[in-house]
Amino acid sequence: MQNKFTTWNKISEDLNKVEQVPSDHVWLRINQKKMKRRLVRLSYSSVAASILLVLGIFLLNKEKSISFSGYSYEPSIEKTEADSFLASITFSNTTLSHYGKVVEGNEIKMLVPKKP
Amino acid sequence: MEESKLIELCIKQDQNAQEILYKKYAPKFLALISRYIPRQADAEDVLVESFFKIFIKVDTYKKEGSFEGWMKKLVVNDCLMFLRKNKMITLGMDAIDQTKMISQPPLENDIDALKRMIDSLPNGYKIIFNLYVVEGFKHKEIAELLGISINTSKSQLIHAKRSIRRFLGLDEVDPALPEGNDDEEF
Repeated sequence: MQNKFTTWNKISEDLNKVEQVPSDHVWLRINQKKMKRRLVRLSYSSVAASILLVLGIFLLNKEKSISFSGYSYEPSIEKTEADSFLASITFSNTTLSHYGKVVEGNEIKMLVPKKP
Repeated sequence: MEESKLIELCIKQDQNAQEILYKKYAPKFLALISRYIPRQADAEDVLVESFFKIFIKVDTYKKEGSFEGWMKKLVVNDCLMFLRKNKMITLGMDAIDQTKMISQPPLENDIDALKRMIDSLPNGYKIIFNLYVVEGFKHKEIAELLGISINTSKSQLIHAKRSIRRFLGLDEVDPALPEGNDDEEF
């Protein structure tokens, strides 16, 4: 019988014509992979957005002084020695300061006067 | 649907366009993958990976050459990656698997017999034969893809062609067909 594969090109041509139908689940798996990628990207975006939000809130609040009833004040505590502190509150028109010592523990606490 | 329109929609991640593209090319690409990876389950794994890549990388297609050719390169790369990962690329003079060989020449139009014969070739011969003769890569490209020398690629191809010629009952012809003579009769 005459062989039909007479040249390499003929072999290439015939092999390139061959088709093989994939199983039905292949398309489903491609879609699952796409969905997974989308979810991963979405979670990365959410994390990035949350970080930006926290950072934004922090930066916005950092510079703001507290104000109420037309007054504004900025409390500050400056440590002078290991066991003492200088607490001050700067009101819109005056500054009150208090020099104190840490009596218990290491946490500095300052009382804010009710009527400055 | 026109191919340019299909590509445009695929870039926009249109699900329907992606499905049309898949239905059009998946049978062709699975046959291509099977030439390198005969196990159906493995070939389908590579097909999933390749189509996933095609869909996410479609916007990088520069319209230089055919879209099919661009996709084919991605698929071939994935095949080679799979073979490399599973240590299935062995370039050498392995013995031909006689159990898979078909002793009789293929009957007219029996492409399946030829496919089985190519499949029985040692891995190195088969990969290089497929890349060079079937996919149309040049020896330089094959050498780069596989990390081998051009001469290794050429010698593996000569061995592969010789085996196929023998299978076709054409052993008496000088086996070393020079490069570029692919249109020549055996």
